[in-house]
Amino acid sequence: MSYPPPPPNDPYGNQVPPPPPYGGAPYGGAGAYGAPAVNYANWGQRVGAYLIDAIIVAPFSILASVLGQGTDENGLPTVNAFYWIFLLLAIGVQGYNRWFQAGKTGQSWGKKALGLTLVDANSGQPIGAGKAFLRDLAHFIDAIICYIGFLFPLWDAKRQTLADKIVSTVVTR
Amino acid sequence: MREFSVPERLGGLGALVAVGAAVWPTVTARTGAGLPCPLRTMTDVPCPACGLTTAAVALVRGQVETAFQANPLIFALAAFTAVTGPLVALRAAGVLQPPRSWSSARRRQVGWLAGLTALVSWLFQLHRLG
Repeated sequence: MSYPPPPPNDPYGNQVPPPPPYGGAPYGGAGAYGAPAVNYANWGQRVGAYLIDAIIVAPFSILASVLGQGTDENGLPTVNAFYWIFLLLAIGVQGYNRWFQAGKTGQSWGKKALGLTLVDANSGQPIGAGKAFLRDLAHFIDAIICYIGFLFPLWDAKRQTLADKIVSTVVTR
Repeated sequence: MREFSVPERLGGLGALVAVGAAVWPTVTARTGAGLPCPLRTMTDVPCPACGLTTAAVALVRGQVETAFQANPLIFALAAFTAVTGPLVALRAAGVLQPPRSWSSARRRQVGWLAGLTALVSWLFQLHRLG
């Protein structure tokens, strides 16, 4: 027994499924079979995490400029030992937070506060301290074109900055 | 909350830029802070986005010609904000359907168009500042 073909305007026959909504992966929101869809962090969340990381080292930078800078008898700017001590402390805290901790666990303090994770784009694993350091160096490329590279997560499919693309990382939530 | 589309995100960025441009002259006057282009500072070569701060400040002050002369791209950003603002409101009210993802071919086309726009903007800046 065979059924006649559906009429051309049959609402249940021969219809192309509509494209998925924004942010929704096809096939019910999942990636490949058994693999969860990747939920990339949006630009606002990434900026928030970065600001938290920056605020953490801000006191050291302020102390370095307040206690460590002065002027000599000719009115020329000078720096004393406090400047270098607080500068090194700022670099140390920044290095521990953004390179060691973010590289080892995927989360700097800022990312942890906002529930974000920095991972390798291919393996999904934390990237290690060395690659986290290289990623921060690669942010130079984001900055050099009037800081436009930092805006790339607004339109990029994987929400990556240029630095993320260079070192092959993504930030997920 | 639903995921915003790329044009909606750019519209939101435009709104943020407008707010920033409204307060930026006060900030620079009080602190002396500036936002120079690193590429131009280091090499004297402008980048495609050079002049956007000047253009944004001029546009929020209604100085259309100054804004155009600094960087015409600011008008594209303003257009995104003007169009997507009402769209987001109508979508939030349920009057319009949420946005749909573009096909990969459409994404590729828009990517090429964005690249071409950046190239034209760079030529404009090289002509203006070169």
